[in-house]
Amino acid sequence: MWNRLQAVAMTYFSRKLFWVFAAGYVGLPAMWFSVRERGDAASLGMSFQALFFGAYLCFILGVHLKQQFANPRAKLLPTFSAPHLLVSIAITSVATSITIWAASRHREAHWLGVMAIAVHVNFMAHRLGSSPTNSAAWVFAASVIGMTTPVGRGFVVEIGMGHEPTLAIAILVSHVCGLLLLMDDMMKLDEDSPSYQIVVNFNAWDMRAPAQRNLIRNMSQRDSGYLRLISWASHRRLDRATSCPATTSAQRVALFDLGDNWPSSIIVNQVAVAGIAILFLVLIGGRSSIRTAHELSLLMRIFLVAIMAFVWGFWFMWVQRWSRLGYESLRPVSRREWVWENGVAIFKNIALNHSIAAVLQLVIVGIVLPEFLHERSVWLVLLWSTGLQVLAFGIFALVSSYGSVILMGMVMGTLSTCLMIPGAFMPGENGLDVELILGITALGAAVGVVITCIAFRRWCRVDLP
Amino acid sequence: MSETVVEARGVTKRFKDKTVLDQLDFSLQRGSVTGLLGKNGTGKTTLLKCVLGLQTPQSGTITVLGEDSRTLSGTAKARLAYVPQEVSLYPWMRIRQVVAYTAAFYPRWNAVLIERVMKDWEINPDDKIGPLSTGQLQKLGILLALGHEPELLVLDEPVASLDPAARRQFLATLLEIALTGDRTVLLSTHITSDLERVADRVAILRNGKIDYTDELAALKDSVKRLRINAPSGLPSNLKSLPGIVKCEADGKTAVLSLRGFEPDLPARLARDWNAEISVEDLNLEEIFLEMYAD
Repeated sequence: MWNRLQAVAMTYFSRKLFWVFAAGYVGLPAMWFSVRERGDAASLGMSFQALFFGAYLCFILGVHLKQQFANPRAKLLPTFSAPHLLVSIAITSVATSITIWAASRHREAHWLGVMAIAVHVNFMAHRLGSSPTNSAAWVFAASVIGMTTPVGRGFVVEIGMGHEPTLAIAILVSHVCGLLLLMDDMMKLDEDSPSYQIVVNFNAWDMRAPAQRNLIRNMSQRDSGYLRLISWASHRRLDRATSCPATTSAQRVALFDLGDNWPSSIIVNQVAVAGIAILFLVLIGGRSSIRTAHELSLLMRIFLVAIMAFVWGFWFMWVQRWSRLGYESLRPVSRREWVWENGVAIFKNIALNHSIAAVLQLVIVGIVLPEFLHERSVWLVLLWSTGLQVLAFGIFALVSSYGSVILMGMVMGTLSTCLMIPGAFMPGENGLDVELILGITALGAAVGVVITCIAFRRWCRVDLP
Repeated sequence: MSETVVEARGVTKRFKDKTVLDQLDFSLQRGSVTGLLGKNGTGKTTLLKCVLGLQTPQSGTITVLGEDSRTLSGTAKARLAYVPQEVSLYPWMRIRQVVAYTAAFYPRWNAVLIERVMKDWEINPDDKIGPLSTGQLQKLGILLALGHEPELLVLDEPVASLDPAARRQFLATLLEIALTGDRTVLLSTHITSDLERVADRVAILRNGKIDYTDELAALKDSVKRLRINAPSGLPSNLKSLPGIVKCEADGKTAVLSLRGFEPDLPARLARDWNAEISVEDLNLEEIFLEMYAD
């Protein structure tokens, strides 16, 4: 049995990416707490960061576990389940313990409360990795984003400080039960189980995105009314775009924009639903605590960063096309034109959705908190998010040229959670002045443009599959 | 002399510390149907991708339709088509939409041909792409490559997932296309019997280089198997016969495979060795196995 446990453990430890994750999410909080005062707001923010970083690793651990069990080997090999489950639980528990240690560095943290929060976030992320259904994704996203809102954050802080011990215990017990259910699910998994087909179908530790045919095939076989509804717009666009030969660059941009594995209206739909839901949650939930324009701008930051993360889904869709990009690059355009036109297609989607999100935010502020609509800090945060969106565009343009879904996910997660840190690069509690914010925005945008140019050159040369 | 459609000189391609193509020289003449053969891992797909500009060799030059493969213009790409080993398309579309989507990129598209081939190959245009099997996708990939009537068709294992009936249909269509309009076809495949049906030239990749390239008929004329029965014993210099690829000797009989066969060789050997010599023609698979199996 010990040999089997070792062999299973090596399926994790033999991967370089596992150590990159572990070093990142252990090293970062450790460094932070070695140089910062353990009671200030930034340390509180870093405690939240530690939770999120731990969640990323646990998500990958969940993906790895599911791939091991959604496999004929799991049924055919004797004594397969026990060592695989034991190792997964052990590594997830160690990861969670480290998260608990990091998150509890704040002076006022209580071990029970922090444990409950860390277990909640990490185990939910693990569950999401092992069973990535839409409902699991929404519950996780709502939970995490809710924790960053003023009301949610306050609630989490109360639990973290040990003021809600009964609730903390209830959370722990529910997740232990959830873990037992997960183990049972894995042992019963077979090809007839609907869950068998729901696998995040990239190698959890592989830097390259393989063709995700099985997942896509299974998902596309689900001909639900909801999917038909949100695909309708993309089908109409497709029929319009293909009604005549594309002779101009603009026409080809429209065609390239339709070349994803999913109709882009799915992303738009997610963004719209998420945007409205999050904003109402944020604004109405935090309305009682909004006394100044500055506080409003902090709320708007949460909304904008959340929407930015959703909109980055267009890059995710692009990388999911990796296995087909070589074939697509042989369309009758030069490589430079192909790179440029695809880049323009992605830029248009991101710019449009980001603009809509900004306008939506202003409209809702105008309805719910009209007295703040003319305040400078409200417009500053919109400008800040736009500048950073340009920076993010460049970063993702470059990162996507490595063809790795995992790398994209890491960058997306790191970027979005770093942007959430209070005081980081935006008007925060530290009272950054207008000139500094404008400077950061302009610098971010300028760096984004430079990185985009570098990415363009790389895309023109990179080997394609 | 026919025009050279693809010219590769001194091409070297490495992946980390593994050299896949090593100072490779290769040329493809207009109007030929050339089969690219080689053992697994010898670099067939890599060569095809370098030819198409999808991968950049560390050294060497490749020109395709008169242009550098790394900077192919839109005009050159409109004259070529590629069917990859694994066909990946747009799962949310239907077949008719994928056909229309592909057609929209090309200034010239033969819709009549596509419709006919879809009917012959029993492809339902209203089927969704997502649930298609690997074989169905491969058929569709080939179909999409034919629509703009390319001058150069590059196919990487195009029939690997096709059933025998579908393979026959594909080969018939391929022959039809190859014989019209001076088209050039380069295909890699392990199914040597298919190559024998359609290819007029063959190129064999080995150790990163093109070990052999010539007309298929010339290859089959060149490589033969000789069965030798020498009642008075086999000669001691049997294995030093020029062009020997493989030799199995057992007492007074031997089986030789040799390259560079000459028509008068059996008569000469029979006289010199006082032996009975019979000559066997080999098919392409046998030639490949004799020459390249370890």
